[in-house]
Amino acid sequence: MNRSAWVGLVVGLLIGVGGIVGIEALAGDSDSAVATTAPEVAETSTTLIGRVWVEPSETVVGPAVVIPEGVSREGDEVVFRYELATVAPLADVEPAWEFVSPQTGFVPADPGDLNPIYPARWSLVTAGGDIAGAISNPSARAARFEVGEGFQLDSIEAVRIDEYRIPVPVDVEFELSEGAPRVEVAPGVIVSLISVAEQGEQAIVQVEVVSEDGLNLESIAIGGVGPEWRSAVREAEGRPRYNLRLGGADRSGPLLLRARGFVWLPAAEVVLVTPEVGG
Amino acid sequence: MTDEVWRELLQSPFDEDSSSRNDDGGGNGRGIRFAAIGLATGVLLAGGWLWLTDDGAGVEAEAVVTTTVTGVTEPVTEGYPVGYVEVGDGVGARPELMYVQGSDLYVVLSTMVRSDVDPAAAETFKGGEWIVTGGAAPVAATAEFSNPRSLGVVTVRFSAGAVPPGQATSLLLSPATPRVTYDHELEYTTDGLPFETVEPVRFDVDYGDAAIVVDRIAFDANVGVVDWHVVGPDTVRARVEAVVMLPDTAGGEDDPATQLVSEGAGRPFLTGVPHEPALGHSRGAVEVIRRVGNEVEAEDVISSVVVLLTISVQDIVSGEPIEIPLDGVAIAGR
Repeated sequence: MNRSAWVGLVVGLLIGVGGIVGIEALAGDSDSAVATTAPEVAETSTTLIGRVWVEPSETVVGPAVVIPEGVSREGDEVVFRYELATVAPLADVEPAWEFVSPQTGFVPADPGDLNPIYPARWSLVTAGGDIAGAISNPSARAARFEVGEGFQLDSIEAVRIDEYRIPVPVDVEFELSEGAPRVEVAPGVIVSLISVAEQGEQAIVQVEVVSEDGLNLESIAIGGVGPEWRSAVREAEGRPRYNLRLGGADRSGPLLLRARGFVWLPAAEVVLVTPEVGG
Repeated sequence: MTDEVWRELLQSPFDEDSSSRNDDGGGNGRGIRFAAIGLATGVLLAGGWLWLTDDGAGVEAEAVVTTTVTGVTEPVTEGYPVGYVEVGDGVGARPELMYVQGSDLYVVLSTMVRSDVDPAAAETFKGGEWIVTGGAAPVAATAEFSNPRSLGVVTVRFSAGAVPPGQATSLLLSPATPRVTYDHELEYTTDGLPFETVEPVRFDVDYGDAAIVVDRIAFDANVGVVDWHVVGPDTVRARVEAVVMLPDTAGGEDDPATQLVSEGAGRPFLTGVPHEPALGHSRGAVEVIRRVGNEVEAEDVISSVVVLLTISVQDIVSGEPIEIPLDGVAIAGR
């Protein structure tokens, strides 16, 4: 074995020992999947009252915290992985029912499985400037940034959420008619009257939900208001259209409908800086 | 839309499944995997490269590499991030955005627990009486609503002409008392459908002399209504849910919606919830609608009716109003 070989072995052992220490650090951390060394932040956090639910490595974003899990290089991308956890009060929260299958039916969704916020747009802040990330989706737990071939991870200064959205409860009664067939029920979400088909003693009213940004199509349900409305059925496939059955003797007036659910809307216009990445 | 559908429609093929903060440690497992890969990669690259070359030049790893991550949090004082005002026991609220729809002003607030409070032990915000200031005169809210899928988020609606969002200066909140819920079961005999009660039914509640009076229950085989009102102090509000059971019918065979209610005799035939789920009213009419799959067959003889009522009561005003500033709150759609 020549001198270079010995150097290689020693370097490998050093990295190996360092890696093992890192693994032990990870195993001892109950909330974060990465080793956190945050002396400056830890000093700042001492101003808190019993910092129990927001750890120094976590960033509060609306009613949730972003929990960093790690930054890695994957091919041409830098990937920042994170978890989201709600910090909203949960003791007596009403269950959100989730349809599983015709056999299983509805089951209460675990609050931990809901998306408390939607970090939509990210930037990687580097010594050479900001790099915009790919547009994310509400269930994603990774932000991805396309970087050049020679990009060095140690040039990363921070990861920034440029826009996050919160699930805003919506409950709106509105009218549709031939003269006014479209109504915006929430910012960027429009309900359109497609048709009214008379069928004997009832009419089938078909409406469609349109969203300017493609979001919020599935999280709103449309129904009729009043005892003359017999049922509202969402078409199983394709665009979100609803077939509503309307009874009653007089069907000449405007149709009184209700949109209920939630929409993802951008929160305050502040830019929140989340994890600082050190080399 | 369910999270499953979201994932199916929108998820990048590179995205991994999410796991909750309180799960079984999947996050740690991922971190350890990465560290292990990093360790193996480091050992192999460093040792192998130097072993095979004479000059020992540095290596730029292109495989998966993990780095140390340090968090930077928002400035926090008094146990809450900036902008949160305590509105309950260990629970703060912050206005996140405003928007105008039609002629109504909507203010959206997020709620979160104080930093020393366990979210799982903290009761959800119970609403109250809201007033917006900044216009010619203070204006009271007309509705407040939440959604089970919008954890910690509350929307408050103010009616037409309350105040333009750019001029709104603050909210004044008089928090409501905790909601108390009562379950009642009413059983009637009948000669068939349609069915209608002939006398009101009174339910006393623990708010002074307050009571909830169910004035009328009426329904046919498809749809019906439960009319009710509050008697007593004018700050008492109620929320009424109703389920109609027809013990003489088999009900739907494959109706998954019927699993939403597991108690009572037979299957729930007609079900209804109030229009305003968060803030109650002093009177209301609960529409009950036939569940999909439930049919009254020609041979069915309806001789009895069971009505399950869930009545929640609260006082919408308790204590001095709390001021929540609206300065700098984003206005959606602008």
